[in-house]
This record gives sequence, structure tokens and C-alpha cells, in this order.
Amino acid sequence: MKRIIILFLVATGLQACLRLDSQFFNVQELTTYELDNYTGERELPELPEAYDVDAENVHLFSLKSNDNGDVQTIYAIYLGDTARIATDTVIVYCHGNKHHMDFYWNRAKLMAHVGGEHRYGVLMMDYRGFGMSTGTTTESGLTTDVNTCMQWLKDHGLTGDRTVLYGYSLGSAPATTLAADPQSLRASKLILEAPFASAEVMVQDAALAALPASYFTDIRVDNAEKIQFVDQPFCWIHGINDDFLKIDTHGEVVYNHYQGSYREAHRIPEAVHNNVPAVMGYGEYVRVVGEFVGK
Amino acid sequence: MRILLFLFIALLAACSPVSMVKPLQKKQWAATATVGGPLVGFGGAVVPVPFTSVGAAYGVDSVSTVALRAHATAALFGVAQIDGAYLRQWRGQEGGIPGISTVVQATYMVDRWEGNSRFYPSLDVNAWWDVGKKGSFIYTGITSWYELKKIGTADRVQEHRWIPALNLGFTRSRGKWNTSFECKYLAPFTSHESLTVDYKAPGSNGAFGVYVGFTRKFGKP
Repeated sequence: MKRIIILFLVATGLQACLRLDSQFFNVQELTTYELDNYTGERELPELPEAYDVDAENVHLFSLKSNDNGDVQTIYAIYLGDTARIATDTVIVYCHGNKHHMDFYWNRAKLMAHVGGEHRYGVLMMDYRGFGMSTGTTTESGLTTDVNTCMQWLKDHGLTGDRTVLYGYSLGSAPATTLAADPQSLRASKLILEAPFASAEVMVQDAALAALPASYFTDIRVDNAEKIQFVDQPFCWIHGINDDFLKIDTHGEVVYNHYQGSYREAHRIPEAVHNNVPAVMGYGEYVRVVGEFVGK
Repeated sequence: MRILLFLFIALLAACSPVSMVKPLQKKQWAATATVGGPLVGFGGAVVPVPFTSVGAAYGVDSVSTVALRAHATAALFGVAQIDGAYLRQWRGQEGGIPGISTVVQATYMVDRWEGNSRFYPSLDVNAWWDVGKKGSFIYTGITSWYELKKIGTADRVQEHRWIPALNLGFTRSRGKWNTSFECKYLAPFTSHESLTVDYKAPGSNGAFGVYVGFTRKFGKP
């Protein structure tokens, strides 16, 4: 009997510290960016040539990003004429939770055609741990790295009234955070495509029961809470058949928690998590985003 | 897009280990260990989520057994998950008419990170038929977990208040040892097609789970 009690106490006292945070981020390391020449898996692989961008309007650069003392080298791409940042409107594109900028390159090219080719500047970055960006990805690091890029834009003359934040999937976290709690620039508009409501919603969707996210992860990604502090105009786009972040438990929750001055919703029939622009039609997608940016 | 994080977030009912079906004899002690969980797709393979538990049970009288279990996998993630259970046998097997028992269980969970706690009651109803003369038996039953919260995170109405699982198992008894093999059909009335975890089951509902349990009985009843 004594052995049973000891075994029981050992088991209940086994308060170890396994966390699944490091498994949350789906990163892939790169030694170089290949963009159009990249032959690996990428989103929107069938993007027509009409959405190509000229090489002279593609600027790859790196920045030092300091997240509470954790200084990393962050890589970013600016699409457009950097000399016009002081006068252009710029879309800060926060990509999703997969691999690197090569994977999302076609999405960035689409952005570069919003309102016409290079009508607006586009800045996309690899968060720490993604692609060539160094370090380990963290939730706070996402926000810091995007803000570092926004500071770079500010240093080149961008002002908040000409800044639009676009967050796709995981990118909805830093985009919403920086719209709700501006740091270097206060963006004038927020666009979220297939956003997370929160890590806890993901947990509860999976478990069916109302389990806390803290049982599994320290990551919060609580856009449902933060969107309540966004008062800039808000555009939400979500595939009705999203098989990863369900439209009713994630997107609708974020949309309904928004309490700002203007919001618009685009629920896309037949679209899943990663093909909204393709299902909408690239031209229609660019038109919808462009109309909102131009409002 | 599936991520490893969600391999470990399984249907709540999957936390329920191998069923308690028959009572211990009066004043008999037993140690139990179980492993198993729902089948999920991951990396092209179908694997069971490895939930584990250890516990102890005591025969209060010839028809009642109490048990206490700790969930070791949960503990590895900093979550203390404890079950207290009371089994009552209502009738023994008579010919082809199975024996019937119920288990009332209370599960308490609390994490070390933020102190978030949850309490879940559950009820099992099981029927069994003896196989051979050494105490082995087959059994089937239904487990019902109840979610007490009406509102989930982000002010969402808690859609799933009753989370059932259907159980089918075989317990092989040899002397002081029992070994149980059990299949569960978890949440059979809920579509898994839009759930984040890639649960595996025929059709579009629920998840199949596979479990193994070991019981070592002590003392002379």
C-alpha cells in the first residue's frame, strides 16, 4: 500500500513545466530569399503574371529589433519606391504562421497591386525565427518586430494617417495589437484576413469544453479582447469554410467585439483559410482592399 | 494547417481513462494505470494522444468501490488533474442479462501557471458479461461529461454542455492482475470536420480512442 501512495504522490506532484509554445510557430529557416525564383511551397501559387512586380521596386533589407533586450536581426521587404514613403500610403503586411516571406511572396505582390501597381507601398517582414530573421519566435516578439519595421517607415517619413495595418491569420495578432496600442505609428486603418479570436478559442474549439488556454500554452493572441480598443476603421475578410480558424468562432467574434467608428465584413463563400484571394478572384480581392484603403 | 500544439488538446471526454466497470471485493485495494487517448492525424500518421493516469481504488463493500486517479500527462504540462470516483454495482450478471454498474466521478483540474481551475462531473453507465471462469469480462457503456460553464471564452455561448463517449472493452483477469483494452467513440454526435484537431473516426462525427489499463489488486478480500 505504501508503494501505491508514493506512486500516487509522485504522479500528482509531477508539476513539470512542459509548454507547447515552441510548437505554436511554424517557422522555416532560410539562407537567402528567392522571391519569384522560389520553388518551394507557397501560397497562391497560381498568381497570374499580371501581378508581377519590377525588380527595382523590391527592396530587401534588415533591421535590429529589440524585444525586451532580446535583439535580433529582422528581414523585411519593401515593395515600391522608398523615396516616396514620405508621401505614399503604405500597407504594413503581417503574414501568417508559415515558413517565411518566400512562402507569402505572392500575397505581397497582390498587395502591391492594390489600387493599381505600386499605388501604395507595401512592407512585409519575417518575424524573428521566420526565414532569415534570427532568434526564436515569441508572441511579444511578433509585435516588436512589426513595430520595428513601422519605426523604419516612420524614419523614412511615413505618418500614421498614411499607414494601413494588414494582418493575415497569425499576423492578425501584431496588427491588432499595434492598432489597439500604437507604438511608433498609429495606423489609420486595420484589415484582418482570417484572424484568430484567441488561443483560448482554439483550445476550446478543439476540446469542446471551456478549458483555459493556460493548460497548454502561454500564448494568448487575444484579438477578441484587443480589437475592443481599436477605433480606427476596420475591414474583416474571412472564408466561410475556413477549416483552421472557423469563421463563427474566430472571425465573427473579432468582428463583433470591434467597437470603433467603422467596420465592414467580407464573408467569402467556398473559401477556406488560405485561399480567400483566389476564391474571391484576385481582381475582386484587390478591389475590395483598395476601396477600403482609399476610403 | 495543423500544428503540434493541438495534438495534445483533445476532447475533454478523452481525458477519461479506461472505464471502471466491476467493483473490487470488500476491503480490497488496487493500483491502476492507464494510457490512451483519441486517434488524431499528425504528420500523415494516425496516432493516439498519449493520456496517462495512475490511481488507487478500494472496495468499500461487495458492490461499491471508490477510486482516486491522477493524470500524469496533464501533470507534465503543469496541470494537476485529479478524479474522484464512486462505482456502484446495481446488479450482477444473470445468464445472458448483463451486470450493470454506474460510476459517478468528479474531476478537478488546476494549472500551476495562472491557477485556472475547472470542475467536471461525469456519469458512466456500464454493462458487462463474464467471459470464462477466471474473472475476465467484456463490457460496454456510455460516459457522459458535463460542462458546467454556460459561457466560454470571448463571451461565446458554450455550445457543448454534454460530452458523451461510447465505450466497448475487454478485461482479461489473471490472478491479481487485470488488463483492459478499450475503444471509445468520443463525442459521437458532434461533427469533427470543423474542429481544429484532425480527429479520426468513420464518418464526420467524433473521434475514436484506444486505451489500455492495468490493475494490480492487493490484499486478501
